[in-house]
Amino acid sequence: MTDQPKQPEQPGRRQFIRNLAVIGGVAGVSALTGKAFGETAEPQTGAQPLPGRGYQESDHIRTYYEKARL
Amino acid sequence: MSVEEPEPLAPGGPNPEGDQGLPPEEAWRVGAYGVLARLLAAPPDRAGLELTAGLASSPDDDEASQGPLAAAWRGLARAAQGADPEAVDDEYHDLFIGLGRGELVPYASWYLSGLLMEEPLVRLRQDLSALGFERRSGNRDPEDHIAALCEVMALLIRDGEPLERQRRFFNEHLAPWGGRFFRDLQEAEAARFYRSVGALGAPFVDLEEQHLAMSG
Repeated sequence: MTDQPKQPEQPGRRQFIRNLAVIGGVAGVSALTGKAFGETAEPQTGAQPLPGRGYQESDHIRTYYEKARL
Repeated sequence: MSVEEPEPLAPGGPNPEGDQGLPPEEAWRVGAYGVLARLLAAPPDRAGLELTAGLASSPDDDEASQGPLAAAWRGLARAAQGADPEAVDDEYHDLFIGLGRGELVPYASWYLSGLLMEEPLVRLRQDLSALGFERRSGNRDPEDHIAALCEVMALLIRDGEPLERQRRFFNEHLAPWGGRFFRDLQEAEAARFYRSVGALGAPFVDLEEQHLAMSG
């Protein structure tokens, strides 16, 4: 059930969740940004630039891709 | 209220007390996605392994012993306890990186179309753009890496995006292959530490599928 905000918090659970957050939130982990972990939240100032048009793949991916095409 | 301490998930966020004001179930989901993202984006260093091992350190920890996926969390913690950072680094490369030799290819496009950077990535980019995500400058990895998708889910939940939006993203981009990927990871020949990551990820994806199907 997800709709029980009044449920008393066990300290063990709270600490466990906190530990998860420490592990998972150490840094921005992936290729994405704008809302990424570990970054100070930026104010919404309007439309974000679109990603992707100037996309460049990394070398090992490109090599893999070329191999896969063969 | 707990003692105040720095909160890495939401620096400057509205709620410094540790869970961004989320209900515990939602904070748990954010944490689980975050851990998977972290461990799959790059191999954990010694500190990361110690933190992960610490998930099992408290014997009276209700959540670790009885909460959702308790056995999988304990398994992950145990695997981290005995793991050597260099070996985990090698393992990560054998599993995911090696040129044509990585045992698994952790990208949605690969799983769904058999090729990298195909139609699934195009659709993902459209959805990410609509949700306000952009590529980290300097990072050239495609966005459909399993770690990126887990991170997006964590952020959607953390930011209180409506369940319908979470469900659509999950169903479109993770559900079709996430379970398969994590099961492959559990059984990969090169997998040692990462076997336990697969053993956590597979039931977690199933749980999310049920959770998101039931909610809203």
